[in-house]
Amino acid sequence: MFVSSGDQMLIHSSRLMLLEADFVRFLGADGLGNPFENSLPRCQLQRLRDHATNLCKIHSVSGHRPIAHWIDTLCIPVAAHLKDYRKLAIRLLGRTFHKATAVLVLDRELCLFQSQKASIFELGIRIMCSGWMKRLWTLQEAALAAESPDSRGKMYFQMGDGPVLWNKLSQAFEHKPSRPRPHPPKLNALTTTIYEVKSRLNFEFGVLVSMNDRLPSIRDLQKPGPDTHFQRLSRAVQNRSTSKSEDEPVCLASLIGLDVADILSVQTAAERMSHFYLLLREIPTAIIFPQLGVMNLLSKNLQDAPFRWAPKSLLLLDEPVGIDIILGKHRFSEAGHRTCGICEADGLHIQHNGFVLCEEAVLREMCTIEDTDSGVKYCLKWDGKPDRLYRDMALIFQTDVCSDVAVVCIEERRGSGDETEFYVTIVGHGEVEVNETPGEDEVIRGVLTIPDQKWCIT
Amino acid sequence: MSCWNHFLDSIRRRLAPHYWDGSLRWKPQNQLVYAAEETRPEFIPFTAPYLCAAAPYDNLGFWEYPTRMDWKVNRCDRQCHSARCPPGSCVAPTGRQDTSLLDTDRPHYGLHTPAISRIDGNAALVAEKVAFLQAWLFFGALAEVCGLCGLTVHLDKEFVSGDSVDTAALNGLPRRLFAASQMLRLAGTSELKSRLYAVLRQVQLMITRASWEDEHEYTFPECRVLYTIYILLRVLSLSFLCHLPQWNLDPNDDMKLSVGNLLHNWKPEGQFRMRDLTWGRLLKKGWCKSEIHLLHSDDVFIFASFLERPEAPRDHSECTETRCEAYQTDEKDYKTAHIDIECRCESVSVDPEQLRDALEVNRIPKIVISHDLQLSVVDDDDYPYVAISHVCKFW
Repeated sequence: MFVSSGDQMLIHSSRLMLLEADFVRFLGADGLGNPFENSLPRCQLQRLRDHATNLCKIHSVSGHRPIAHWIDTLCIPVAAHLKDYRKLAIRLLGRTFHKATAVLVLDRELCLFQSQKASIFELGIRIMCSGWMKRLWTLQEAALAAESPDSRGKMYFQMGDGPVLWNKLSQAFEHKPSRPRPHPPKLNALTTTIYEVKSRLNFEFGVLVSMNDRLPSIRDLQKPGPDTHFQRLSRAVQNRSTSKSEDEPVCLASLIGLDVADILSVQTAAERMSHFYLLLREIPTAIIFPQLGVMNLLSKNLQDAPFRWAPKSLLLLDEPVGIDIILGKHRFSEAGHRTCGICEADGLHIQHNGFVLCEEAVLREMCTIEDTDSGVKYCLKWDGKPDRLYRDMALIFQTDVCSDVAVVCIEERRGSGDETEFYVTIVGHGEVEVNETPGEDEVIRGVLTIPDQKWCIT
Repeated sequence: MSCWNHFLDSIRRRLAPHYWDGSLRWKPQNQLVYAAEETRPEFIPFTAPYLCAAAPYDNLGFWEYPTRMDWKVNRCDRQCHSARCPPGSCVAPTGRQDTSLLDTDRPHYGLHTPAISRIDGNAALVAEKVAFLQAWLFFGALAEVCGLCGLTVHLDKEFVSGDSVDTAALNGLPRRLFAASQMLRLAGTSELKSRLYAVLRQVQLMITRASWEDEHEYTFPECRVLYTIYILLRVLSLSFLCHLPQWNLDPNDDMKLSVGNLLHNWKPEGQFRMRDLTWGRLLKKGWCKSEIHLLHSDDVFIFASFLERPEAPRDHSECTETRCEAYQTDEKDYKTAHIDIECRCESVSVDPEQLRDALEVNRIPKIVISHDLQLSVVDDDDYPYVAISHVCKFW
């Protein structure tokens, strides 16, 4: 679903929910809010008017017509007797940002920064670290602003020395309208252009790519592509936060055009995230393996079956790019199994190769396992509780036998033969290597599964 | 400069694009790297101590400077594979069928440590080494390149301020160097390109980290000195890029810019230590750990540490690596702010009934702010408006 449907978008539904629950939210200290009445001090009004006038003048955005302003503080009724109209105004927010001639970002720190004499590298760092960039809800406003019929987008950051357009199309900042320099096409995919080298030499490349990832348009988030919605959302929400965790799933769902009514039907953050995953369906299997350098993965997951494999929050993922890296490994691995699983009401269904242990055993932090078919021994290192006796255990390999593994406990077997699906609980994570120097340790025997073994993670 | 000289100079500047490399061309040619109107700086400026003040560069030649100063350079560069490999290294994949591209030695054949040592064999202090590298690879390389391009630069005046070296003057230098070489009609010539390339390659050879860790446990001032050289290397590379006449880098050009993979092969000496020192420095300067985590690339967060952010919130005691709490404020304490803390101007309200009237007919209410700051509501669908996005939300 793209934004053209305007009113139909439930993009701010969570705000409605909060309103209905008589919550009053407050975020930030930029001083442009007013919870009690639709008013602002004269000095702020003058500033808003000057900024908007200046923007229109410099960037020629409204032709010769006088420009009006929309700011929530003045345009969403706060009086108690107009509560129903407040809801209506909130419902119209999707259309409000979509139809705006321009969207101007006001952030206290950026408003004081002299940007025209700074490098793009510095400008990018400052925007990325601004308070505005740290809120979840501003992502929606940005995503709608980027959805302009003019593919350059219409989102401007107010700086100390004027508004700067974030041009989505050319991934560049523009202080005034400029014709893009003609860039001849690349000779082939392997050719490097002068601009590419330049943007790497002056550090622009990284920040501009990051800006693009963190400020996607609705279309960017929703269009089919090689990466999943899960990945795109994870990158976009990195380092953003919301004061109410139950807002997150609603915001995420609305960004990618999922029907949020189902999510709003439950109350707690955990329940809503579970419903979000069910709506999302396609989940990179990478998330069941530890992200690079991240410990205690399970403590960051939902606590109730069958969603114990799922992150409590995408906002808290340490390294969203880690998922991209793991997926990359999957694609180039010999195993060739599916890189995404399907989230259903009974858990996450994936197909990965694995190893099923034959007997009950004490799995120490480091232990030797042996494939009874080939006689090859491997070394398993993992983070489980060392003295506990485990029964009916298996390993799910991230890529192939020698890779990171999820250590799981089999709860149930459904089907038979190659169609058997193991219903499992993750009990820890580790890695498996070929055991080149077998010692006297106890050997735990097991068998390798078929390459596309079915698992249902609960 | 007299008026006559000024006039001649402006004529020469005008003609320079027609005599780019000494040959007359009717269609003027300029460098492709920078747009004509581009004046934006390339890098975040910072300062480093002027460690070589006691023994500054002697301006007697870049290449022999180490010998003149009794230093021995222990690194070498074979410019292997037609200089496609980074200095001192061979990155050609092993096992390729084209054996001419195979290097039988280890990949980092020329990146010996210590990179420099005293000719007499005596041990040198780290500070002495860094001071020498500053004199040679910063001031020496700058003087050499400016000389090659015909740019008159007073290094002491432009780059030294008291006891510090300031990198601000490096911004814009590639364009200045190119313009000067154009005036000499040397722009784009193989001779100039090869000499420029040799200098930048030598600088890269000397400041490339040979292993995962740095050669020494540098102090923060020493790291800054090494970083000035690192930035100069990038400036020289941009200068070189200006001389390329085509948009696409030609892989068959022997004089190609062998930068390797900028993200992976460029590991400057001092970066490892600088990263460790910068983390605490950023926290002390009021950056949030979630911001540092976001700027995960070494260079990005190291350069971020040179920025000042007086308006950013300072208290990040409740923040985590993935979440900044500093922008959360208790609703009870909230007051709509004035622009100036001393300002006591009155507030102006919107008539809520006007908002209601617009919303009742499913229209978006917009505000027109009059000259005397009175507010009125308009709801025409096609009325142009600027929507303000800010972090204060009360709905």
